[in-house]
Amino acid sequence: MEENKVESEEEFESAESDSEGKVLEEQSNNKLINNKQTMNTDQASDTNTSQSDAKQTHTEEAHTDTTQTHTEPAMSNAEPTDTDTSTNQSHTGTSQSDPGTNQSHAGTNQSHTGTSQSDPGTNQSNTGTSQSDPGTNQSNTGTNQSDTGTSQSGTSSWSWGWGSITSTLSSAVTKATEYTSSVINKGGEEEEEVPTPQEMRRESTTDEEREDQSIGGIFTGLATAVQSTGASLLSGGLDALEVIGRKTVDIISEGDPGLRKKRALLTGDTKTLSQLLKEAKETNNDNNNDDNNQENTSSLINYSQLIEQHGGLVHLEALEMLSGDCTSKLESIESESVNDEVQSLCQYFNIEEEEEEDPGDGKEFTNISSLTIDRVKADQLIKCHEDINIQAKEEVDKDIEVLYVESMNGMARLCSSSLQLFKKTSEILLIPSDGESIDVKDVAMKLKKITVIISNEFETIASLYAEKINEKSSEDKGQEYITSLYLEASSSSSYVQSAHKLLLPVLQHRLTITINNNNN
Amino acid sequence: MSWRNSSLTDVDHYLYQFRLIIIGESTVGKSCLLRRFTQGRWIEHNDPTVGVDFHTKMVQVDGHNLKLQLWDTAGQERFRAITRSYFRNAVGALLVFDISDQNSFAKVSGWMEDVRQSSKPHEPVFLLVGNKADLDRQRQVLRVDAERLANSFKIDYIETSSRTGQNVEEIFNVLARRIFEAIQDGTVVVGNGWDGVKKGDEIPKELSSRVNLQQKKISDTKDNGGGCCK
Repeated sequence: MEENKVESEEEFESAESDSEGKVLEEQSNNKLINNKQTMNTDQASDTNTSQSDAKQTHTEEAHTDTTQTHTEPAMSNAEPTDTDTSTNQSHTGTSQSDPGTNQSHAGTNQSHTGTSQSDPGTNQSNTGTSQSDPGTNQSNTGTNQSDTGTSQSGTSSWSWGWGSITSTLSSAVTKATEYTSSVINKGGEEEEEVPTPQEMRRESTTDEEREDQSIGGIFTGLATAVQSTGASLLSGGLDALEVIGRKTVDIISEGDPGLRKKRALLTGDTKTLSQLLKEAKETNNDNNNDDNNQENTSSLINYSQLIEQHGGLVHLEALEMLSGDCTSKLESIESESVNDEVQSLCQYFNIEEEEEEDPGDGKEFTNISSLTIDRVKADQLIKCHEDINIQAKEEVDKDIEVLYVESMNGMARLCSSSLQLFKKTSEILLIPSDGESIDVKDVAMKLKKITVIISNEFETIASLYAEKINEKSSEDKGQEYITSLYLEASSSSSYVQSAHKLLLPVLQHRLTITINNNNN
Repeated sequence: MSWRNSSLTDVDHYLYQFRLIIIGESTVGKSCLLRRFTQGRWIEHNDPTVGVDFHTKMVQVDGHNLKLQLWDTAGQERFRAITRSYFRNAVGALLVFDISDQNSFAKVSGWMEDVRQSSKPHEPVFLLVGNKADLDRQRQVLRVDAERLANSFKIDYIETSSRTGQNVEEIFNVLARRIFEAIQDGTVVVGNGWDGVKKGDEIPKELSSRVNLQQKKISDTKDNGGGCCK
């Protein structure tokens, strides 16, 4: 089991990063499977066949990375279990008998909603659901996923800024896996102690009410880790799985009281970017508080606090409000053709890695003023950029501490100005136009360019200052500053890119207005 | 508080941050009122506000620092769809009209209702402001009428002038105090994912027992871990 532990930790991490890029692809796979299942559901005798199909497909497609070492036992275990299941199902009809079915449901959710608004209830509600319509349930899940497609990509991009948190969580998951193993072993011996599914369902419903929404996240996250051991779980039954799920949450939380926050950071959708920023600030304050007790004062700047001081946070909050309202308005679109048009805007909101790394020559930044929409001026942003560059190139002897503060302030200012620009753009886009038309696709294209230019700029600033600090001091303190500088540069890029994604619903809403105006 | 990295950044210490919105018809002087308050002088302001602008200022109530985050909203009708998005999450609202403009006074109830609807389930603390008090000669709204309206809503009424500075500090101080009292008597609840009131890092003394549960939980776990919050 020692080996398993290590593997599953790695798997968890790779699953996290892999699932991001594949979300859309996987969703479409999932949809196909769901459709297939829905069709089969009518014929009761076929239900099990289709479910085991689905499960296998998922194991092969969705978890290519995660199951490498475990595929063999998983498959061989899964098949006989399914056969058992089908027998049970037709005779008894109790949910004790369908671990396989539910396991495949769980699998579906894990792989596809890694960072998304996975409904915490989805797994659980399937638990007690009658066996006659698993396909229907699944296809519902599928629909939800495709609806939240945009927000998935929205949250996935910045998660890399929280590297340390990810690793903390994965170590927590290692604990979880450890515990999982022991429960699995127990599972066989103490079957009579496992509560009935009905009880379980009742309990988990209360749990849901009690816990905040982010609890769904840990189920999703944990489920990925549990995936490797999932094969042997099939025989242990779904009930055991649920017990494990909830126990592991407790255990992890005991060991790491701050976990709930970190978990929320990873799942993203339950919290908005601005909430995360606020929490990051608080956490940092808490840490400083702890440092005080240990008389080990950190000299690093609380960057989220700087963003707040420069007004970035409040602009972001306003942008989130607008974006959220637009999202809810979009839900009422009925026309398919309008919906297709609206969806087509998504292509302008994926920023590829290579675009990010495109080296900027500095002059590029001033081009932003030609890329903004009418009535939105980039003057402040460009001024801010100029100021930073002038300051950075000053031939004055500065302490590394001064350089550090200067660079961090500069980045926070630039980041805040960018957020302000995006907020203002949203506002202008949402003013009802008097016959004046806005080429939404053109705006989308330009906004993407702006985002890439700004994102690149943070790294340029960080490099500029890192070099200066490095010249001055190669001691630990200097290195600490440089690390912090690069970290916050990447955080800044993430903030700006996440804010950019908030503009998608705004543009989409604007597009529907334009279409409606043209139709009338 | 010496432990904080004060050498690197100047940190605002406050007990609470209140999010306040300034609402009312276009041209009643909302932006000028805010500029007078935050910058201490009369600034001619011709461009209508687009969407929302932000200002912050610290005020003191009972020796506590309270940070006011002021959302200066556009009064023009065409921005209404946007500004309505901003109404929720405000703990207080300055309801501004122009004493020399009867129409702006007539619209006050509508503005109030709009904010109330948008901020449900929270109920913001309102204050009725009759601005441009320096234009007393062109007055169209009698003080008694404004007071009667304010009474019917059970809120305060204060007349101000951004040009002379009359009562400008006053309205923000009164509103901040009302909200602070509402927190103390439990009418306004802090936290729960609501952004109207945000807890700052100034440690409350007499309020320590009222700090919301979530905050308490965090500090509890920290105590268990051997930490100590003063």
